[in-house]
Amino acid sequence: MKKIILIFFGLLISCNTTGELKITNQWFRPAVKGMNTAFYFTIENNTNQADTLYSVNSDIAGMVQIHETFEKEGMMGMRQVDFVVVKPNSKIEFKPGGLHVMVMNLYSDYKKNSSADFELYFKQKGIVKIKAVTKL
Amino acid sequence: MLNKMGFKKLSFAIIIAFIFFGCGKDIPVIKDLGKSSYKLIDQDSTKFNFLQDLKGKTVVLSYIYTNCPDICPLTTHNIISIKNKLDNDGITDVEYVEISFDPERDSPSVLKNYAEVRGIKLNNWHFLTGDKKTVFNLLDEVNVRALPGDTTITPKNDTLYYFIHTDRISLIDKQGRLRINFKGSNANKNEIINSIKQIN
Repeated sequence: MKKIILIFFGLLISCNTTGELKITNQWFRPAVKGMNTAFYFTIENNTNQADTLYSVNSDIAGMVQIHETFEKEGMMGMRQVDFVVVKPNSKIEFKPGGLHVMVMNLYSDYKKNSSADFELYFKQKGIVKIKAVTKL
Repeated sequence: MLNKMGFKKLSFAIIIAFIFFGCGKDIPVIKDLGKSSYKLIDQDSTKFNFLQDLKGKTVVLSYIYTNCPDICPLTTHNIISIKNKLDNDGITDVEYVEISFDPERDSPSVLKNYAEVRGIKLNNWHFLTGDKKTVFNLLDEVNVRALPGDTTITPKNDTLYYFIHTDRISLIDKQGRLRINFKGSNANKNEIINSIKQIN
């Protein structure tokens, strides 16, 4: 009985935010089989609570990680980021030259106007499934 | 003696002359690469001597590795925009060169795929790779650095590595002189276009 009540309240809380955290402007760069690409999007958190993106997954590649581009002593590099917190009523852009999702070791070619499915895992919102299309 | 009207006309002429002829002399020479000779291969596996095969041409030069998902494609796409603008302006006698600092993975066919997936026409655009030592000697000469960074092991046990690298677009004039360097991924495209027009 306790479990049912907990699940009920859990669903109630999740219902309060469903639809209010959304992903927009999603796209990824064209790349061919065996190569890497980057997946970009905007997270719009229109809720009153922070949420955390902690993982991204896709069946199109051997590995998917959240990364950021950094500059050090005039050189550019990329490094993995464990999670990204999206504050209440704010948005975060994953964009070229900044935060991005690294999609590594593609299983197929993704040329112009190809599409792929991605799953974004949020602490509060849960899984958000989206489709993205390649663009240059 | 110049009257007021004559002085105005003279000032106007000086300004116009400065705009058309004066600016081109403002880009200093960083390094003379005119005698540089690095035996590389292009995306078609054709032998390519850098810089001897580019003599007499203005060169837009950049440095990439094709496994780079974010920074290097930005540089390439900036050059695509620059080339499109120059082509539209009727400036077609410019050569575009991208040198891979990851020659072990960036074979000619990989470079060709990188170009084709972006719709790059390769008539005056060359993707170059080659022997690692030769490539890095060339990079040393133009003061470009590329250091292997983090390594990732995929669930299928594939090893992936990235580079921490100089982010640059360089311009070389018709005399083979390195004239100016710009940021590659975050390029000021108009500034680069104006500089190309000045040195071309």
